[in-house]
Amino acid sequence: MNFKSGIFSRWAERRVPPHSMAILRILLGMWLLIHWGLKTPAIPMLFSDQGLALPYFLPTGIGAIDIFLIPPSVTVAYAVFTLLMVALAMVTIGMRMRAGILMTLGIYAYFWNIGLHPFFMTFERLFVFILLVLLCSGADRTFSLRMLLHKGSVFAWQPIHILPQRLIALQLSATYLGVGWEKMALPDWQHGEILTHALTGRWATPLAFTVAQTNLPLPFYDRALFLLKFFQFLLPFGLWIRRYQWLFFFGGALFHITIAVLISMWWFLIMVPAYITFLEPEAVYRFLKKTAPSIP
Amino acid sequence: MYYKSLFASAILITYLLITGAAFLYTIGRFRIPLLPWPLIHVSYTLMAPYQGDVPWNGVFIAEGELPDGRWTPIPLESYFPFIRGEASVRMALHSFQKEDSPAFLYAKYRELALKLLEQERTKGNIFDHIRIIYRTWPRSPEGYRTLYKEPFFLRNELVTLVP
Repeated sequence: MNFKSGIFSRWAERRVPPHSMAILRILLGMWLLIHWGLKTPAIPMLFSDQGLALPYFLPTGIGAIDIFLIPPSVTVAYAVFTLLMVALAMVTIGMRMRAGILMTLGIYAYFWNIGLHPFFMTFERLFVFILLVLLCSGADRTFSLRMLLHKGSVFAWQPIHILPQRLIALQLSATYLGVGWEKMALPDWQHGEILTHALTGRWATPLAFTVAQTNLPLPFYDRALFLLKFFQFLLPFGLWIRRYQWLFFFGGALFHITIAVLISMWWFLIMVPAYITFLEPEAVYRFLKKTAPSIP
Repeated sequence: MYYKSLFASAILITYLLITGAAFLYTIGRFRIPLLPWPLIHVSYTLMAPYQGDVPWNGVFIAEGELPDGRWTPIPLESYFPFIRGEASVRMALHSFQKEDSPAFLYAKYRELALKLLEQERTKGNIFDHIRIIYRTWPRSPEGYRTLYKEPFFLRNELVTLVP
């Protein structure tokens, strides 16, 4: 048995139960519904001609194209927004998932171009990446309306290829790897002072200011920074090592919760449920089957 | 089956190449030739947020000139209905920042100010001119705007004046 047909084949090419990807699909769908739902009152300012939207790509003079490049009326903006919410609901419930993802990505691109102002931070790019991978993943092969209609039960399932799950896990690791390892070299990340900047900057929450007001000495922040960098150095690998991965799941959750409550970036919390992609799909299936006997 | 396996391997190898190249760029700004830079850049942006910070806060403020010559502040909160950090990032128009063309960004600020003037006029605020100013002040543990007052302003830069 050579390497290609043995280890690699088992790791990246086998067919597996779809439950991990289905859970990720549902959680990501719900997350995006909340993320976009919170923007509902801001839609006129964000995406219509009532706000200050500056399209990234300028009108071409061709009517059929410009209709997508110029901020529309409030009514049209809300209509497109409603379509987006419908598309996300389709992804979440697993009905016409691919169509839902394609609609979501199309509307994302439309809103990105005309939005006030393109706010395409790392977390949005991660959402788009995961959606692209889910497109060809078979994540609707269980816990979905599709399976209810085609097989008579939401718990019915069909095996899927493991590669999409591996790609998402690899991307999460890559994100942590870049974020963690670059701190070893970046000048601002050599002293604990940067943590004090984060506690008093534009993203800081009232809790962050409370922490800053405790006037902890700089050596405290230096040590906190060392611990943070040490953890982030190990995190991309620790998530894969079966013996220690739950420790890193917990540490990662603590890290993202801390970011959310201190510097208000709650969007990255979705990365914690996405850790399910680091678990072997068969193990997740066995656990779920023990918990819910209705799963065949 | 063989072709499916080949296709899956190709996807994985391509992904690893792009991500590896992006990691090398993240760590040491090394650019690998022959690989498509747009894809590497996208991968880089997935792994390199919050690279640094500054000890001051900055905000864009807008003021309108009334017919009698007085300047009055225009609250931008209604146009940027977000939490402070997100509103600040959006106002900075990061997507229009090009290293080789700062004039492009200033042109976009001019466009933003003209739109603001138009929107304010539809609300009945007849301003002769609108100006956008970028103001910075030191950070303080006592609060975000504790030192947002004279004589602590570090910078009061006129970004644009329209029309």
